[in-house]
Amino acid sequence: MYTLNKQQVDTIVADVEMAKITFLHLAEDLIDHICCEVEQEMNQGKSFNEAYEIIKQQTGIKVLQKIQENTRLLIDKNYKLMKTTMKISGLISLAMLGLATVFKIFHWPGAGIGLVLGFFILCVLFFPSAIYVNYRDAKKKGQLILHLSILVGGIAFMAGILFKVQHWPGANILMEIGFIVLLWIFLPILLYVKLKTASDKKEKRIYIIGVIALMVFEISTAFKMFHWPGAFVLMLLGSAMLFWIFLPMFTYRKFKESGKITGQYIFLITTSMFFILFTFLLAMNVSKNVLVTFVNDDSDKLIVAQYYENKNDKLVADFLSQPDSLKTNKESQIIKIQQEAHDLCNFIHDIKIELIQAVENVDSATAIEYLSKTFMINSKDNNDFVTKIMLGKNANGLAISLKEKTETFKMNIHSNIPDNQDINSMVDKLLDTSDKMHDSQIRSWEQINFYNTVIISALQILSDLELKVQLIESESIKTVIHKNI
Amino acid sequence: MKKLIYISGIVSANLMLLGSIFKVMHWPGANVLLTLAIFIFSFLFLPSALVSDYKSQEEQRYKWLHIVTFLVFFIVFIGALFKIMHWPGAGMFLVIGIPLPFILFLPVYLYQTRKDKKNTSLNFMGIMFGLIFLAVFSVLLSLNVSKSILDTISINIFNNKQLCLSLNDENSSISNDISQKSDELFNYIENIKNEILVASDNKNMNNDSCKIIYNSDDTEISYLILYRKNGIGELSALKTKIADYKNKVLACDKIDDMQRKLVNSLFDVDDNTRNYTETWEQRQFPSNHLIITLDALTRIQTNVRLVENVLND
Repeated sequence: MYTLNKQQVDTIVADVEMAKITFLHLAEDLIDHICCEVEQEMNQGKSFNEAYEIIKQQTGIKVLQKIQENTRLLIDKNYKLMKTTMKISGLISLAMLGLATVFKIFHWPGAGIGLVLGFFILCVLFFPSAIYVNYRDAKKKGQLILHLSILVGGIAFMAGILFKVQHWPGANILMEIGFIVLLWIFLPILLYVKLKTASDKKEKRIYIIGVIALMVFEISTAFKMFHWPGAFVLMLLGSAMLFWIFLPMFTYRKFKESGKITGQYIFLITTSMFFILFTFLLAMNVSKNVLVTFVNDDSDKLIVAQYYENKNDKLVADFLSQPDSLKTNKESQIIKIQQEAHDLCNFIHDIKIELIQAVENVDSATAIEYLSKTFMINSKDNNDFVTKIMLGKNANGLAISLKEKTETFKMNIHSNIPDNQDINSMVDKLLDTSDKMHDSQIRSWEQINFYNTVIISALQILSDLELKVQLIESESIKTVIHKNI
Repeated sequence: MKKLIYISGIVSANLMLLGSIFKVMHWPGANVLLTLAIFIFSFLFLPSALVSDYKSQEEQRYKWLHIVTFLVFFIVFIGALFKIMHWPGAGMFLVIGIPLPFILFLPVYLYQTRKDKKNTSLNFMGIMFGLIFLAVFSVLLSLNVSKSILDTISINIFNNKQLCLSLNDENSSISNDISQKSDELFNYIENIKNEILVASDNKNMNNDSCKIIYNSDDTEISYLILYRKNGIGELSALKTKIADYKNKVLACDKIDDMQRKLVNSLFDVDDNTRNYTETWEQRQFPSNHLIITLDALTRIQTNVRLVENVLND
């Protein structure tokens, strides 16, 4: 009966350790088993090396890992269930979020439900199962807090974003909790764990720089959220450390280690690109809520314009019902003013309907409904169609005809009421379509008002013009009626 | 060759960072840097790194995973480039590009690595968290509009101010109870506006240019003055004043039904009525951006002048 000596056992132990067998007592059982097998082969007269080769061919590293995996699955049905849950829930929730984003951008219905469901599955199913699986795989002491902290922080952060997106109360508190946990618990523990596993001083330095850079970046985001000064400087500092120091050092080390391009490196660069892209794109945006201010402006303008329209009609009707002796020669003058104002307002009306129809792709009846209810317009921030319709390709857009018609209206009021300075100066002021300084250059009226203007703003500008025309109509008719009485 | 791939990766990430900083700071050359970064990434780094990774395996596995990875991230980044540069066709790229990592890359990745037990768990975590990051930020981005929209609001303010001035000329000849009350409210709002403008270093608001203020995206000053000043903020006082004004005007004896309706709808300070689910403040001041606050205040001023004009006929 042959017995392995200490050195030979150590070789086997080292090989089994190579296979990263971490599961409970499995490693010891496996070593014991392999030693017995080798001894059996050696009893048949083979040397240790020959015998071990044969056994290794039967049980390579992969087979050992397979055994570990199978043992785990046998012992732990929970683990298997969690792993399946993790994969399926991750896939479904992310696919939902991705599609919901597209729906949201293009204002198709159903985006809200997709977002809520996606975030919900992510928080409730994916996150816990993924952390559980990862924790079971690592199975090292001291990592429980690491996993717990990312679980709590991650879920709080995700939920915070969902609440923010849906305008539910409590979003900020959730995001704050997420921030604090990730920043002050997860990152330091991560650094501690990484430092423990680091092989030399250089690697330690790389990890320290990486984690500190991440912390600086996170702090800058927190500064931004709470409107403290200095956020931008911190963000620059964090990203500079991350991309000018950590990334080259880490890459250099990886390259020296393996000498080949790993999937890890590709992943690192791709994620970095996304990280920068999104962080800075977000810094250049504001919430869509701001568009409400255009809706408010527009609805107030329309209310007043409606009032003046009714009042003007009544004024003219009252005047016309008077006996002929009182009307004298004013009748034609008043009707002319009314007719011109009416034409201009109708033209503005038609422009608005054309804009809404182009942007929302609806029939004219729906577009007319949207006119007085601009909050119902889905793509409030569309500006492609406004520029195309209002300015056209070779200065032939509707804004140019609008400008001409406005000018004509102005001239007509001037010629109809030549002797009233008040009215004439008011008309000039309100319907001023001259070129102006804008963004330190001279730009034309149609450029200022309609170049790259979002539709909700364009509609509001048109309503404003409509109101002014009706106000002028009202004042002019009044002036004509009261003249010489 | 491998060195070149490593360097191109780092270079594209750094160019991207520089380009983004330039873009945010409105320095010239941002677009060139961004285009260069995305070009190097999509046409040099991504294909060569993936080919190198594929060939360096002991057995040639995951062929489809490599092809899909290239396609997906190529489309996504070129789409982003189109969007940043405002080139036509960005919309189509986005429709395809945004969900692609989740509905094409992730399933292929999961399917191809389903039998691979070596290191999968760790890689899977990395990729999942990367993709979650991508999803969350895409969602956040889709909820926003470009900051440049704030500047267009200055046109509203300009138009409203012009209207106010003309109406004031018109109304100035008459002096009665209504005009006195209107002037009071108008000046009260004007004071709030001035306070905000002084606090935000915009003292030259009253010039003729359409572009009035430079820090239109500041949210601190209006928040402080409207909601925090003296513990309660200006807004609640303003609301009471508007309600008072409305009641005074409605009590006026010469007002007719049409005018009553107009006044009621212009100065509707009710909270959570059947028409709205928000308070008056939330409705009228949808955000604390400086320019939005100024716009809302100017709108109320204009409404005051309009009502004064209507009632003084």
